[in-house]
Amino acid sequence: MSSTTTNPNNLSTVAAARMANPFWHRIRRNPLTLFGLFLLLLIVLMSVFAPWISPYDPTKIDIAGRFAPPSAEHWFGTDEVGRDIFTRILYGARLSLGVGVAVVVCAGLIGTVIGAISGYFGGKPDQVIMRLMDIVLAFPALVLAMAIAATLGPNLQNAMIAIAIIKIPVYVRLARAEALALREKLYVKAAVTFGIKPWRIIARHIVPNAISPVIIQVTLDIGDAILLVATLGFLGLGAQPPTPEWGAMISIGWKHLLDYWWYPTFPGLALFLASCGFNLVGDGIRDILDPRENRA
Amino acid sequence: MNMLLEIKNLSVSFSSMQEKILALRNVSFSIQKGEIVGIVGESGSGKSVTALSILGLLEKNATIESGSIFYKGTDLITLERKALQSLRGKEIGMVFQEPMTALHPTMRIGAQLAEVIRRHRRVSWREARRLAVESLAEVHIRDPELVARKYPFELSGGMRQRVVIALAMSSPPELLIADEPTTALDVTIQHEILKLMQELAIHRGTAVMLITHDLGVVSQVCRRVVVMYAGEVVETGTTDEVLRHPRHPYTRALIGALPDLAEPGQPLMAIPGDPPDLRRRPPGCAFAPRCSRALPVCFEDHPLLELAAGESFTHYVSCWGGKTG
Repeated sequence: MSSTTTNPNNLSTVAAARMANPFWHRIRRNPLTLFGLFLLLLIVLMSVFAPWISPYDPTKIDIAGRFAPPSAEHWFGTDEVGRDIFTRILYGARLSLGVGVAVVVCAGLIGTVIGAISGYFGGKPDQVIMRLMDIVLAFPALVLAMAIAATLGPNLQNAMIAIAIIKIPVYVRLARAEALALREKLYVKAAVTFGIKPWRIIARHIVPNAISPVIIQVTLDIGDAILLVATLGFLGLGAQPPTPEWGAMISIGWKHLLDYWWYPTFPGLALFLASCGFNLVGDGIRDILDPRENRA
Repeated sequence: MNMLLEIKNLSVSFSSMQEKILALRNVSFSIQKGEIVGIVGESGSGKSVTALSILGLLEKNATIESGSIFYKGTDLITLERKALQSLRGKEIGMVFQEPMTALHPTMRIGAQLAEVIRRHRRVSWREARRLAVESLAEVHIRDPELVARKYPFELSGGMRQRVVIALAMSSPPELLIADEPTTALDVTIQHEILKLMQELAIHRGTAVMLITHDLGVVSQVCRRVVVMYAGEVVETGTTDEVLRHPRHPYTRALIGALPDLAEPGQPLMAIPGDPPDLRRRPPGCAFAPRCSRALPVCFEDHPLLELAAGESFTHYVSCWGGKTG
């Protein structure tokens, strides 16, 4: 009608775009999250395309070319047996990312199920489960992980089990808190009046609705898990040489720090960037999924 | 034998900290097959506790002190948990007051219905989906195919209550417990929902236990009424008897407070005082302190639920003064 009114079509397209993908819209406005996302993407792509990016074999020994400084041929130099450090970092990324994600997702799933059962049923089983979790939480995480890994024997698989065990209680507590609240919701009570069995209520009503804080915690924990894997590797309790693992590389490399600075520096930098990326993205996702902590 | 549900002398208590509160006291009433019975009373009169007792879903701090709940001749109180679980939803359905929160928020309507259908019938998912759409059509939802694919937040309150009724009726049950099904809805929708429940009761022979505090609702759809006060049944009879010839002063007061049923020209009467503190039950009639016609005996002795004077064999009242007058 009049020319002063804004075009309603225009407005609704913007609103529609926002409605269609609110997640992306909000990530875009947070530069730190965007940077974290960029880091992760870079690391993931590099680890996926490792064989095409680097011509070297991560375990190929070349004694003649040992401790070569960074150059056009060996970007990050070579180690004490002449392996290309850049190549080993690429393959190490595969391992670190894979292990980090796998461990945390496992811990998240197991913890959520235990927590949902504990919170939904309550009473004695709840008490027993929560006290067990308190015992695990009472120890410093790293010390307990070391103890478990050392007891089971030093290899990558046992390191993963150890990290999963120390991560589970956090998820149990998160899921239990949600389950306690959900148990009182009318639609859960309604499901009971329709005769739905308890295990099915947990699977269909409790777990799916308790999952969002768990997802946030998972994204925050992956970076931490990568660090823990590297720490155990550094202490000799994780992946064993010659596996290209960042922690193990740093562990051997730091003895040579003064003479061949590149050896421990580049794996350390890779580790720093990877855990940084996961933490930034985790924070960003938390801001988006958790309206209580919304900072405009 | 037409008796579907028979509650006899049911007493339920809740224990908190140190106190024990008697929430239901010697409640007795029955529901015949296919009959709509209204349970009336104000908040805290024990209507919902009665419903939850039938379903065996009382909170952990509640104890059934005495009495029995016969459903088709078996006592639900002594029934083991598994058997009761399969009775719920299959034979006895329940509709809640708040349709806004009674549906799973992240599950599509059709999936919710299909899940309940599959719980009680051995059918494939595909068949359950088809039955789900069918049951939506039965509660007069236009375009049931489309609604089945929606999430609860996409539906209005009236639509959601229809879905909840469809859920409760999907097996179909012989007894539907409706706990204030229309309270959260606006008046025009209220009427439609009541008509729907009445229709389902007639067509499928489902008995309905309609819990409400609205006598207008009762007069529209119920055949019989049970009036509850402070966890006791104070008067029961056919809707006509109770609403036209109320014997208990509490029932009279309720009717007097209702614009639709009050005598024209008379001022609306509020009931003086507050509902009794269930922790300190008076020895006599629970309503006596608020009763305008209370006699000395009312404060000392508890009246029994007895046949009211008159030709009727269905009209019972628990009042010292009301039996005769």
